[in-house]
Amino acid sequence: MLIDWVAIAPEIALTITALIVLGADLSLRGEAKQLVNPLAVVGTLVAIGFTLYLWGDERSTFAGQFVINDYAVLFKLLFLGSLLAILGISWRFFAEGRYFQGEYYFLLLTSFIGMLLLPSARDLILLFIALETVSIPAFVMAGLRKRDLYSSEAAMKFFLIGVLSVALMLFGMSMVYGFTGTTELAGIAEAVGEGESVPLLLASVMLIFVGFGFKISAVPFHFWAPDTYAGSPMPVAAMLAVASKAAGFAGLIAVAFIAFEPLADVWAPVLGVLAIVTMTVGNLFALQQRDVIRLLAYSSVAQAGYILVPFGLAQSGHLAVNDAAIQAVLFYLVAYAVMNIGAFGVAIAVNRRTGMRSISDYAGLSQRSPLLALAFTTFLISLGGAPPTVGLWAKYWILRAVAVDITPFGIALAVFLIINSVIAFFYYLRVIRTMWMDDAPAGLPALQPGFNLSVVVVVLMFGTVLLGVLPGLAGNFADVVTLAGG
Amino acid sequence: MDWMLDYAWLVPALPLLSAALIAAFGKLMPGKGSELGVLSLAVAFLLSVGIAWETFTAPAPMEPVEHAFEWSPLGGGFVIELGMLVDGLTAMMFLLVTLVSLMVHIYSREYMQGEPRFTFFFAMLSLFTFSMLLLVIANNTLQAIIGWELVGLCSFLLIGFYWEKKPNQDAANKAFLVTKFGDVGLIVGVIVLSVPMFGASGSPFNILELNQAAADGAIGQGTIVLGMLMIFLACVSKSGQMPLHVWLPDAMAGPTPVSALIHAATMVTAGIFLLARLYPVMAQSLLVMSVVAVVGVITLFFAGLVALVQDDLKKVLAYSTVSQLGYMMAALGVGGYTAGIFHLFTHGFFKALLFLGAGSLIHAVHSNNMSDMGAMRKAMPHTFWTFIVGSIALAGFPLTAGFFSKDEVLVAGQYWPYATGGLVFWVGLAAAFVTAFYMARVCFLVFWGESRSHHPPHESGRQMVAPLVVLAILSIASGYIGSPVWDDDNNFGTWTATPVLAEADYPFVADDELGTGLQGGGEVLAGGAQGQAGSASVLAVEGEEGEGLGAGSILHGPPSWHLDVLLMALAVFLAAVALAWRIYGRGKPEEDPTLNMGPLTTVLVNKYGFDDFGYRYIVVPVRDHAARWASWSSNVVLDGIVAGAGKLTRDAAMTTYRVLDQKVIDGGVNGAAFSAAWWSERLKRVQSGDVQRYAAVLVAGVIVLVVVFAAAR
Repeated sequence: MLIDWVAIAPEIALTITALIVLGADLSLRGEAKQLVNPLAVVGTLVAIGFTLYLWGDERSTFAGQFVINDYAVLFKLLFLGSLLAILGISWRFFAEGRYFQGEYYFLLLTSFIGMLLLPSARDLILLFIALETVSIPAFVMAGLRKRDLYSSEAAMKFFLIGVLSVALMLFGMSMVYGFTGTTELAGIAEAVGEGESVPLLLASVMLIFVGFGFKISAVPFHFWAPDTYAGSPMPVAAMLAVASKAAGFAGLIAVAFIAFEPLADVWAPVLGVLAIVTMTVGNLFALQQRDVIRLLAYSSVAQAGYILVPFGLAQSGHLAVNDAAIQAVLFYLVAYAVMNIGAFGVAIAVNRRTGMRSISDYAGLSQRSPLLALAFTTFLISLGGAPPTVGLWAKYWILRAVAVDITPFGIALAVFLIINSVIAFFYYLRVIRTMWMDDAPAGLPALQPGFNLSVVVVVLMFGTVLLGVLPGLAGNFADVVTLAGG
Repeated sequence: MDWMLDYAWLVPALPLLSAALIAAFGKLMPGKGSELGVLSLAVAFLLSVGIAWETFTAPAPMEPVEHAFEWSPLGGGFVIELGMLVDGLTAMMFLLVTLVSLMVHIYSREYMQGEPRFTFFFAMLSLFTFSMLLLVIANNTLQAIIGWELVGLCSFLLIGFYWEKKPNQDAANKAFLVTKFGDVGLIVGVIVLSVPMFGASGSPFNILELNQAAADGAIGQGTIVLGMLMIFLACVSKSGQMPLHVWLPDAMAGPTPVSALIHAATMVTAGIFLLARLYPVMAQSLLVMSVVAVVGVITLFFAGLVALVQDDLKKVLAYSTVSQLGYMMAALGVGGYTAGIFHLFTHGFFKALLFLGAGSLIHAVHSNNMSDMGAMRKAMPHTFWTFIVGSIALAGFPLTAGFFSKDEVLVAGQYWPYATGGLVFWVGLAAAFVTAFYMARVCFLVFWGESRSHHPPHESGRQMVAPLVVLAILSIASGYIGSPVWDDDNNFGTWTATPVLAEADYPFVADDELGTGLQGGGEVLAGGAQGQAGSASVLAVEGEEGEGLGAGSILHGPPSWHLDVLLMALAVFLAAVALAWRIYGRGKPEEDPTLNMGPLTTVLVNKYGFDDFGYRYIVVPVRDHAARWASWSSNVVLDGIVAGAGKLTRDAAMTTYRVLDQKVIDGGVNGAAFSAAWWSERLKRVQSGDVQRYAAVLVAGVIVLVVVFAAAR
């Protein structure tokens, strides 16, 4: 069997980088350990270069288990872009904390290798391995501050719930293999399409979705998320909230729209109801939060609900609807990555040194650092979905998918989406009001976000607004990807 | 050189850049940011010269260069553009705006020396220029609105520049409110005109497509009349036409360089420009044309009369601007497209010159009033000579710029086969007498006679005099671009012509009405109130001109000498100056007969009572009655409704509460607004932090899902 090395070049690049980072951490001492961050950035840029080279290409290797198409490349770019941003907001945080810098970057890169594999995987086994490659380093990263009880608790909860979900998923996969006799997604689709859908097969499909439901923190598999986000180091929380979630969606798209596409009429309503429950519960919880990180955690649960909406629209065999749904998910993920990493970046900047994280600590941020306040306002407005930001178009794309084939269920989903957007504004605007209208308490140290973080935040802020003004920049890419299969 | 047209967007971009840079870094620079403004305007001006040359020499009518970013956020034909449209008209405006703005920038460096907010002033000056250029370059009406509104905003900030004084705030507010009143018309007009363009065109707000559709007769008369009259309302307020001119004289409260910019290039010309830009649309309706012409004629004459009785030098010039804008409007209203914008072009130079000259005088004597000046020619020779040049250009002395353009306006009136044409010609001629008279009055009072200044006046410095000299040269030279000395293929008319205009004609002009030797026009004149005017020479000139023109075609063809008009203009000029010399030659303002004309003076000094009328019938009622009524209605009526509704709701709620036992519905009465918080409060307990319970809920969820899912089949 010949291996198409070009197709897996980005993964290889990242793997080598991870190894170099580990080695460098071993050989460097003291302040010099900081150098692993730029090393990782360089490696990421190389991987981005390889990925860009693959744009427009159709490749397949490992006997069709691993494919390259525009869909996969788009996802990989999303992951690598997120990685770049997370590296930017991590530097000072870990350099100052002095804990396990080398390990952190090694684990982060390893986790992203799993993510790069996910959108390309066309086989249940590879999918599972990729998902675990994403998760296992994340378990460790969540507990990186091991002398901090909260961090340990975060890691422990994350691990337990994660293992439970993955066990259920693996159980489902084994049953699906039993029914269809294959682990290839396309083969499963064929077998499922022909065969009779017995209840046990449907149950096993559901079990597989549960595994992804954990990754995307959909209700009722979301309980770990707020505790874990709040306890783990903040850059890790950003990574879990954005990249790890996007990875879950990448896997869910592959499973749902390729392997179980013939069953879409059955699973779509279930995922639709999950979407409604997820966004509603997420928003209601978010209303209660006093801690910005927990607020962002619940807000990201609610966002996951929004992203699940297009899945609820899927119809088996209806290509136009399914394509529109996939595009909506893709566009939302891009938008979500831009605005949510940005929001976490600001939270890190405020938290650094002072450890402040409650909403009232953001009072008068506009006086202390107008740039950060402006950036945070932009990100929150975008998360809420108001113009002139990309968040508006992300929701618009979902509604557009609803409009492709109007069904009563689709309308119900749209109505819940809109109601929830309004609820969400309540808590986003509360933070904004605190930042701009309340006075800062006296005697606070000056904010020093650091160069890297500032650059990342400013770039993401411009991205939020730029994509808000010219949604076509990302929308056109999403349009190109009409085919999730391969 | 062709590439220059593609880079025309740089012309508005440069002032925007300099505005931003001045605002950000101006205070750190040696010249406090002024050098940035001068530099960017100088580059923009050079670019404009290149663009002007390119468009001027292009075979006429030049095909417009258009580039745009399209933004279609909603799909379905709703396209918003950000673009540029470059043709002769754009190039002409670029040249005017950048040159005048450059002169004003240079001049202000000395004039504003030592002012607090010096840097802010220059940032605003650049932003003001950018706003106007954005309007000029707009390829669609929405962008034009943005530029238009920015112009209004900047003028507000600059008119109220000395905002510590109450009258200046009032003047700024007045300018803002009056022009804002008209802006409503612009928005309504743009929407009305875009309605038929939806579906018919890729971009409903595109100006070229709108003009083309109108010229093709694809837009209904009703739409055109409503849309254009609404837009005209905006132009009336922005370009200071009666009765919405009231803000313009008060706008003199701003620093004098700002007055020059507003009155010559960047604000009042916006209305004229917009009408010129949409001329093919306007030309579709005789009603619109006539309204424009009549408003223009009224303005040009009556504003000129008010200028006679002013003592404040800047106010004379302000009313003179109102009057000259009336000429431009009137020209557009009687088919004189080329004439109107030609007058706009030349007027820009000599009015900027006069304002800057006035600024130089004011700088020297620390007073705006002519009664504090006198005999200034000895102390300020450069200001004196340049001011005289500007004055004779404004007064229309033969072979100056104002002569050629005013001549064109009057000739346009002659061509027009309707009653408004005669009106424009004769009233325009009479107003030319008034213009010459009040400018002569100003010159004699200021430069001759005895010095009445409280300070010994001194000549201004180099940075103030140099712009005066440049503008003085242009006040003479700019007229020749539209004069008959240019050849037929490249002159002002062909420069500013567009393909649509070249092919379009007036739909309401019958074929035989204008085509046969223009007797129609003659008859109108002969039969009009000024019957004795149908002189042979007038008709003869028209006859020559009429040849070769299609019936009702919009463009009048190349300019030519109009000996009769020249002689009349000269006679009027000399008569006015002679009269003024007789009265003011000794420079004794206290014997000014214009101030001793009994009731007429009273009317003029009160500016026909417009301000008083506006104060008494608009400001007072709104402030004392409408505001009070609104307050009463909001306090009593609305509160009553709200309170009533509230009481009703509360009663209903209480009834519900009593009827349905509290325990049955358990908290539901908290209402929709509280239910989210309520649920939120309850749900919070689920997130207990207990990982075993998490797992239990997770497994329970899985079981429910699996059962529901499996049962679905």
